[in-house]
Amino acid sequence: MTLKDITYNYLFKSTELFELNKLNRDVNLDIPVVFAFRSTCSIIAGIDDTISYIEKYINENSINIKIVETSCPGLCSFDPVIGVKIPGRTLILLKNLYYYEVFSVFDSILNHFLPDTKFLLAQIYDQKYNSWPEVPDFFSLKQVKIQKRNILEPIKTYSPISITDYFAKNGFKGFAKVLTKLTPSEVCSIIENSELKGRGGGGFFTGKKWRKALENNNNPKYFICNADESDPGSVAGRILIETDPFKLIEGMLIGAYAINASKAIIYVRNTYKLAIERLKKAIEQTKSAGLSGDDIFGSGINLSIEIVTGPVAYVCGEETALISSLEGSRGMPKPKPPYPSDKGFLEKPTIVNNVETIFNIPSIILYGAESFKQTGIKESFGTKLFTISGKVDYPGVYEIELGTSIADVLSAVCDDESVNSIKAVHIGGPSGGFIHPDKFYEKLVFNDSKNKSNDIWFGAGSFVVLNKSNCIVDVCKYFLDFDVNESCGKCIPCREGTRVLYDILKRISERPPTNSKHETLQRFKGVTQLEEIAVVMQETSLCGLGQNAPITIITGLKYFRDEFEEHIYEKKCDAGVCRDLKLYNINIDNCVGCGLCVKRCPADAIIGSLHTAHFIVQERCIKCGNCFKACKFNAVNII
Amino acid sequence: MEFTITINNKKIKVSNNEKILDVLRRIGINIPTLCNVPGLSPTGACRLCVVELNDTNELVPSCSTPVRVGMNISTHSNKVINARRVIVNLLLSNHPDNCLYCDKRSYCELHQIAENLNITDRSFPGEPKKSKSDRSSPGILREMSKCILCGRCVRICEEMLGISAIDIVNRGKNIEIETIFKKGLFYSNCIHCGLCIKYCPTGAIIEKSYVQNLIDKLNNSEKEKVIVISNSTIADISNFYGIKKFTDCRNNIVGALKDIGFDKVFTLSPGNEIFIYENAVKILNHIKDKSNNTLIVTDCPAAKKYVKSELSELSPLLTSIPSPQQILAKFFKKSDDSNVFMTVVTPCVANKYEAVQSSNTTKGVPDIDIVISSNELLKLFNTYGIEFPYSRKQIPDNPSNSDTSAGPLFETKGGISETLIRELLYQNQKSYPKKLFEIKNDKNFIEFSFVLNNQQFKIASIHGISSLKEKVEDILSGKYLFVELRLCENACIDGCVQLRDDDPDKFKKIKKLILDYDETNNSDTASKNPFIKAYKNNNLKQK
Repeated sequence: MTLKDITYNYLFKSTELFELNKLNRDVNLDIPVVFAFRSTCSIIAGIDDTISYIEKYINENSINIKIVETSCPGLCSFDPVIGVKIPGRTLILLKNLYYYEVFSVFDSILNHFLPDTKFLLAQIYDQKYNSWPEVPDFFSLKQVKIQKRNILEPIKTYSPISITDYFAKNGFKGFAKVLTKLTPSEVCSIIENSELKGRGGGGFFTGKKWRKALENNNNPKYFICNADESDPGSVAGRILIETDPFKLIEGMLIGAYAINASKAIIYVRNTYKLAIERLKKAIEQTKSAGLSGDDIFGSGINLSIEIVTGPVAYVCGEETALISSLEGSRGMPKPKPPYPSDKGFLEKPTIVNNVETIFNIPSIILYGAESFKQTGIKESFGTKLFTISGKVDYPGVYEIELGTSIADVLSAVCDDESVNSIKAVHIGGPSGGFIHPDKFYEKLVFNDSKNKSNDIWFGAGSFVVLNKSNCIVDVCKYFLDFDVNESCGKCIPCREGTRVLYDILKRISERPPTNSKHETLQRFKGVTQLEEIAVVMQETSLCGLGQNAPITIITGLKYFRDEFEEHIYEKKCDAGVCRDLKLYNINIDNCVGCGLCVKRCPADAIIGSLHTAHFIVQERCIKCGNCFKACKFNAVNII
Repeated sequence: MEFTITINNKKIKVSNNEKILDVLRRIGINIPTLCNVPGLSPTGACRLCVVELNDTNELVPSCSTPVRVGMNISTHSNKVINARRVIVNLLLSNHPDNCLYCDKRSYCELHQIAENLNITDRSFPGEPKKSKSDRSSPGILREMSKCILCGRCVRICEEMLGISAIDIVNRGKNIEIETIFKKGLFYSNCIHCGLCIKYCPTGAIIEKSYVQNLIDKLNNSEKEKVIVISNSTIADISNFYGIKKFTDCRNNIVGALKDIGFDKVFTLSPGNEIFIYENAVKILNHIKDKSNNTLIVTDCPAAKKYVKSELSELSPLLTSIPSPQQILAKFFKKSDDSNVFMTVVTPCVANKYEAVQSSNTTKGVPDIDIVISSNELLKLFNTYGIEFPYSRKQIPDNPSNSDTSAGPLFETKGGISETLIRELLYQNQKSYPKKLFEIKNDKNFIEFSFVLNNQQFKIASIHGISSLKEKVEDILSGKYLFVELRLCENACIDGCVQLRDDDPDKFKKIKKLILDYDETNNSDTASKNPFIKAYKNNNLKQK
């Protein structure tokens, strides 16, 4: 029986096939099974070494153990995570299992002893099996409880790159339904009824967009998946593709069918090696299963899927820039209208959807628009992936039901002590803004209002938590530096505006070299200039990058204006981050001329002969603070 | 579909799909733009053309936004002006401040816009950009520190010409406009047409100036100083100073140049006439041989380079007659060590490039010592304090004293075809109609037909690369007897380094001046010139 036959029987005859119980098969095996939750983040944490040591352990002890490679549960602080299922007992998840601990941990666990508690993450309760004592249930962890995993699975215990495993989770049933029962117009209607909004940042109704492209009779049409995720704080798209490449393919096939496109293109960031690798394998299997290609299962519909890797450019996440890049030109946005749904790739109607948006499609089609609307709140249905990082205890990718408040999220990702020291949350990456603790009670929802700086706007879903040790001016500077380098340079407000904003921030986070009146005046103008430029950039920039780049500044000034003013007037940075504001000098009364500071200074900035008072040459000083730490006579002062 | 929209509280009739900017220009509202080029697709890069939509208080770029039913626009509201001021201030924050030494001076569009917006000091901090220039081309100088990255040059080179010698490289604050491998224009596929000079809003792309070299040579050289002025330059100067007659202006210029210190002053007409005569002989032989090929007649160095490098299948069809300037250079500099210092004034930078080509040099020294542009000639006159109409009138030296009107006509749009047909008919049957019968006259494509020896011939006049590309098949199939090819859309009279003038219809006035001259002149084809008759006899003797 070929794969094509299996697929045909499964999709259209709904015959139960032995292959399809693979999911349970692995868990029910009568030999120990090891689940390696392998994704890019866990590779960085060292899971590859862990796996090779597990293999070594198996070989040395010649035991029969099966290793299943799957994808990470998105809880980055626990990586590398290894799941062990021994016959008769529940699946136990081990956290932070580095290669040098493998032998001792496996020695105990295979003999039914619990390893050291620092490795214990959770277990997945199952009444059929004996549970491990004192190990919490995975679903009772607060990091898991806060989530509503609809498009990602809570924990994936099967291979992400096997199409038959995907079948076991009702995979491609949605596409089969579309192919046999629905017309393109009906598919668009279902998506329209679901009120699904684009997850890439725009928040435009997906169904409306599809309908527009469907009604355009200019053929051929193109369906493009935007997987060029270049937001420095977000990896949701990568996790999604690495975890479930087939779901993306199914969503794209449905989308392409809905707008009568015959070609679907995945524009994926070049650096996502593992995602590209898994996606390529998945596309190959889809093709050999007969689900893409010419005349799919005799329906007369031709759909092909292609991967294009893009350079790592933030601006290529903007749909017109992405299309330019696909066409082989420089990734630069074009003025809208015409919108891509009228005139896009190769001047033909084109739909560009974000990875996360497409991931929502199969289940909406399979279970209906109403089931999608069960999650979330009015006008913001469904869930949204947030990549939570910064000063939190449990960073990771969290799928949060829309309508959850920020405070709830924070209490789940932080321990109790650290929650109280949170100064702000920065949501939306370079296009987003700060949220003040006073607004933590607010719900995470889509906001339609034009003035993004007044509302929570979550962009691609980066969620950076800042505490007292972060300086707001410095964070603004970081994001602007990113924008300065990532701006495509086409329109003046964005190219020159980000540069000048950065220059102003740099100026106020540095001590002026002289104290001339002109410099002081320029410094005092800082805040007004920031506001003036930021507003014009928002109003006149060509694309989202430039329009949203100043939101960080605007919200920063709105909630933390005193911090900016402190930098300007008092030349002080409370968080101690802007060290260029500091001035070190030596009190000649206290200095005994021991010369210790001269030895410690990496910049040769301290001069003076032994037993006479020393002196710091300010032009050379790099403000490292070594002399201050070295001095035993309190002779070095910080101003 | 037509409907009305409200602009500044006035009802204006517009048609569907019209862009706001086009409507505003039509009704006489001036909107500053830096990136817009009429005829090319809007790019929306400079954002200076923003207007306010009164119902949403949104700013939209007028160049790329189409009109909608019920639109209510303010073009100069406080918000709009403030946004424009900030944008220009941002641009100026790192613009080099050396306007005094900039070639563009008051013609700089950025300068004008800043002045109109009352910007008098640097509001935002910024280090002026460091000087970085590309001096590799003999005609074009790119000073990238003055570049405001509007992208006009890139779009013209790509969309209008299809050459893409320059493009945008790098990202963010490091973005710049560069040639391939950053080696310089001379080493790229640039054809030195100079259109980028014409469209650059600032002094980032300018022509390389040789006026000061010329003045030094005028005072120090022992050689006989000869200057050749193209007819387009004469016509442009007469238009600039409002001199009604072409010959008056010519004689004024000759007198002025003699006073400046040139020993001999010629017009380009003898060169044009020899060019016409030689081509006519070639075409008559071509007819005799009954060959079916279409010949390509061009004096444009940029077009020649384009055909040779980009459309090599057409290059065997080029009639290999050198350009008029080079014909005259060979004529004046008969021997290798000739005692002549030759200057040519043209409206074209491609001639500067042509002059240094190895085929036009002797022992490494260019046959034409200096090529200056019409613009530079005006600078020369200004240096010597010369105002027009100049008091002294002089007839140009022999052979230019016996010019026919074919010389000036040659330099207008379709001029090669017209003068060449006249000459063909004259050589064949000594008579010709003054007006030719045009079959077709598209914007950049004119088709003529004429009868020679009872045989009907079609010829075409092609201007600009885009119309050439459309006609490649026709040319290869031999549909025409010959085609005229020039790169500038309005031929040499609208060359890219003519006198700076904001008037978009200047070329029409210049053309009228030349046509008037042609109509009143009886000596209107090359062979009627006694000099050409002598040249013909001389050639026959040599054979």
